[in-house]
Amino acid sequence: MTEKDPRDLDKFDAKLKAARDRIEGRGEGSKKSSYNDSLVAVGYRMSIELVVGVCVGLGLGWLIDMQMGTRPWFMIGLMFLGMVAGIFNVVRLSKDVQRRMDKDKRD
Amino acid sequence: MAAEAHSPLAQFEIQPLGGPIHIGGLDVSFTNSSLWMVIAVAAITAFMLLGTRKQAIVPGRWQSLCEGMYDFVSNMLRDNVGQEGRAYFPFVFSLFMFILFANVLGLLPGAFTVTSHIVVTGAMALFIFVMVTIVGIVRHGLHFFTYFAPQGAPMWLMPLMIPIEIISYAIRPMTLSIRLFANMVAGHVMLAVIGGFAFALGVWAGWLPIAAVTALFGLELLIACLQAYVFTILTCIYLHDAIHLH
Repeated sequence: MTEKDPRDLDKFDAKLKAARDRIEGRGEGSKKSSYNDSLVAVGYRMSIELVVGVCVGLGLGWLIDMQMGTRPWFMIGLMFLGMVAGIFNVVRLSKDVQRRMDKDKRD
Repeated sequence: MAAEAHSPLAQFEIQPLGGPIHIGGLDVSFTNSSLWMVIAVAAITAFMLLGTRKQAIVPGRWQSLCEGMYDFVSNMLRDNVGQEGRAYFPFVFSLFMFILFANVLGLLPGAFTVTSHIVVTGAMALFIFVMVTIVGIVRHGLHFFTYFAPQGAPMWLMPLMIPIEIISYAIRPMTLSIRLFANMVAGHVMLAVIGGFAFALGVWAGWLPIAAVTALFGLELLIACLQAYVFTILTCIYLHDAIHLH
């Protein structure tokens, strides 16, 4: 180990304090939750959300139709609802990502 | 190896090891899937116990790995759920480690990928779904159901909005399980198909698919880790929704 500059130690103390504050949820540190969600992960979440909404709507509608003999009305209706639900989830997710990114930029 | 074993889907076949076991009409045979789950759990236990056995203040390489994992999940939980999320750390950490190890161990040649079966990912997702719903109801009582009524929407839209919200809540276990399972299956099938080309092309051109598989293997490693991360972060987000509502 090489001998360190005392200034490095000061910096280390500051870093340590910041980390402690963050963990205990007080001070500036707690508010500055950096957006470390990778964008690839966001992409994976969005793509599947759209597909599954439609599929679940179709499946649920089909089941209800089978039970009640109302083919094909519930299937069509719920498919659209599922589609909308999927789009809603994607919009909500992208709003969330946008908000966090804006917050990161301001900090 | 039999001819049908060359199908790119053969790697996902469940085979009982050491004969089938039936208890009360249920097939509870110890399969290759169970074996790899046991291996994953054993590997995690060994990794964490052996890594932290010294408990040095200045960690060595292995101990830093363990602490890094801990820190990663604990930061994820704090950023996404907040202080109330601490109570769920053991659950979320186990979940993350199990999926991560199952995914990465599945990439070993000849290994069985536990997470490539929707019954496994679906069981985990359903467990999370039920748990999160119970947490929400216990914490907020009947007030929890206001979660399905979006704030700020006009009253006449409610008959439309509430079913949409309920569906988008109810599809959570599906999106959670399908994402993980589909990524694993797609990746492994792709590796098997392109690996199969190497045999078909022979000595002269066979190295090309091998180079491609090598590159894709890196991608698969990324996906294996990324999907564990996505699964865990979504668990955190669902917990956040249940604890804070909106």
